[in-house]
Amino acid sequence: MSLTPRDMLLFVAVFGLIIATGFAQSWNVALGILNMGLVSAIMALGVNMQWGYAGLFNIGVMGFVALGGLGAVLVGMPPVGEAWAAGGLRVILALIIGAGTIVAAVLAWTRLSPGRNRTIAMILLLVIGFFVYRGLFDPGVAAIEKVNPAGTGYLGGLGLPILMAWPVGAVLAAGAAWLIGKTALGLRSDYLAIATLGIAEIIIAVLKNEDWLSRGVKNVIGIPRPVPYEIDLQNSESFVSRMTDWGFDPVTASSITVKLSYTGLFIVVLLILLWLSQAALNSPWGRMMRAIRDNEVAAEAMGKDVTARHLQIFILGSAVCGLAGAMMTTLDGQLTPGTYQPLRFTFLVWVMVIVGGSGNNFGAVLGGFLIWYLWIMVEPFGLTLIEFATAGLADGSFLKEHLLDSAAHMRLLTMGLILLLVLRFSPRGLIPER
Amino acid sequence: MPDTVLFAAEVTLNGLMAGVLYSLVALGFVLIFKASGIFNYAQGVMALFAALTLVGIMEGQVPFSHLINAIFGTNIHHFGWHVPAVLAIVLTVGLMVVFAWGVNHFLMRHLVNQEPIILFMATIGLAFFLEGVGDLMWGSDIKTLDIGLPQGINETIDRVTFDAFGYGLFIDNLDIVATIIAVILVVALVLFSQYTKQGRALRAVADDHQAALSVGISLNYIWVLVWSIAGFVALVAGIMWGAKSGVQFSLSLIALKALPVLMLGGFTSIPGAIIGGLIIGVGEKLFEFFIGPLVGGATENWFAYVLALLFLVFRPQGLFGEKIIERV
Repeated sequence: MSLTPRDMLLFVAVFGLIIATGFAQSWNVALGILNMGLVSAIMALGVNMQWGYAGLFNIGVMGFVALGGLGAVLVGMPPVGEAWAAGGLRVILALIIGAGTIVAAVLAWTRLSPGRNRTIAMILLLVIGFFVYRGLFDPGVAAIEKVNPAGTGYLGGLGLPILMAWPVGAVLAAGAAWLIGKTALGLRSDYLAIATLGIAEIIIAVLKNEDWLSRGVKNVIGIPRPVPYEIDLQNSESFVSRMTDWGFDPVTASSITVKLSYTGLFIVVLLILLWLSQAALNSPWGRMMRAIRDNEVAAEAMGKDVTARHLQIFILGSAVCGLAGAMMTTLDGQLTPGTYQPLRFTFLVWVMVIVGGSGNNFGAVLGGFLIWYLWIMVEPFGLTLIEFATAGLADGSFLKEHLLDSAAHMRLLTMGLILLLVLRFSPRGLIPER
Repeated sequence: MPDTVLFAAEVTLNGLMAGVLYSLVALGFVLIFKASGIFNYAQGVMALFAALTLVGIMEGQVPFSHLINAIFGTNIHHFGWHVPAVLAIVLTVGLMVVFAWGVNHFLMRHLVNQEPIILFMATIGLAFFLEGVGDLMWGSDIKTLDIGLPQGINETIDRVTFDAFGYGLFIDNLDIVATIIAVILVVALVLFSQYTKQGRALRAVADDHQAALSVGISLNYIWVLVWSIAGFVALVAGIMWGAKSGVQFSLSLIALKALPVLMLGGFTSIPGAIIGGLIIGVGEKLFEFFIGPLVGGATENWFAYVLALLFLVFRPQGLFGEKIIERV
């Protein structure tokens, strides 16, 4: 399976759009779009694995992306020593007891013989476990959140290099996916839809409310970077003199250098993932996945373990989404749970996959770039259009201000129109599966 | 009676009222899903759009005034008249019918035989598009919708309960009206689908597309009809929601809440949508009241999904759904 000239042309067209933005507006904007486009492409790859390879309907992408972001905080941020001293161990102990209670209850349920004794034992275990857990947990959390609430008020992370957070984000998302998959897969397909949708909301609710973990809606800012800071570049003699020699403004050049370094990192990740997914899709394993997707009963009759394969691909796809989430949080330098919305992080990614072409990795990547470009650029396009139309009006007139405000909402209209047009004329996406 | 019981009763009643709104949105989903197998993500936005249009017509707003002003350099906002509520509702229903025709003619007709996910994506596109158009047509500010429904605390209930228990229950008049209207709407829908020719045709299509086609029922006609009815239900939901908290764009998010309602009630059952909506409405309010403080609150965002999930384990087809028997 390789790219046809037409597919190449599509890719060239999308990158042409981004480059044109660079010439017309600024390279900062173009690179910003390219970076988030790369992250979006990775998210789309993850969803494409689940939907395109295996036909699993995951509408909780947002939750996995947010878990990836949490991974970035937990690994990258420096630990808050005072908070650890105040209540760190207590909270950890409480969590272990909480988890232990659940495990013990499950064991009691499976090991004991059915009957009234089993029910009573389990209820007792759960109730006692819950109160012990709360008794340890609440004071611990209160103590942690009291430590400098305006600045920290949380446990902080491990203070490790931020690049290590990317696999950790993937592992966190994979863990959540394992839990969901274990319960919801193998049943009817709408279980998975509602489970992912619900658990994504729960993950966001936890991130918003558990201040000791990731500061909740107070947001974690200033997550360390894998690349140099602009200000350090601007202060470095050699950088400034080199850029001046080449005829660039050192300030602009510094921010472009930073963005380019991100681009480099992200491209490496995307290429590795793309290569792996292509290899997987063309291997016997990939053929098996598609066979399962197209006819589960037939595949099962041929001796394939449908549920286990579904679990496998669900975890893999979610891990890729988590990885993308960690990369995005690294790029932003902050974790803001309040901004995670299903429209932006679940359905937009789905639009990318469907517009690009589900079942085709290149399609998903193309969709990621194209849709992200449009999502960002439609607003300025509308703005330019309205500015052009209102050129005759005096600056600052009420009407003109009002119109410029409303340009922002052109985005939804255009996105909807594009999605409808693509589905109308090419229902299988721009680069369909072959 | 102890206070907790009274508070819980009040919470339950208000939950029922919130549930009515979920039910109305879920009802629109069920209608379209039954007739065409499409999960219509745009139902919430349709409610929003209908409400926006109603307010726009009543206030005599000039549609697309921003665009017109921008292109021709004019400065028009309003026609300067006020349309009576009844006439405005009729006009809005007319517009929803035109919209239904447009959806079918330009979109759904061309997507026959596509996979369900493609149809679902098409409705997401439709939702985006409609939200954008609504904005462009009527502006994005929050509007107040007042079509003369009674509002505010119902003093009779307040007084009676105060005399009986020493604590007056707070129930909004609007909620009572909403409940009555929802009941009338459902009864009317059931009568329509049981006793009219069009209604029977609709049920025939829901049962079996090909068989319906072979006895001479026009699928195109039925689809336009069903999208029109869904548009009408959306308008009712939009009026209720708009009268309660203003016509604003957050209304479109209610589409996601309708999913657990449908899981609970069954995708193909009209009474199921109603009961499911009520259960979710009451359930999330009561859960927040009793369990919310224990787990730190904000349970309303996710309670519905967890309830639906638990429910699915015991009754996968929902309360009233048809049992799916897979024959191999």
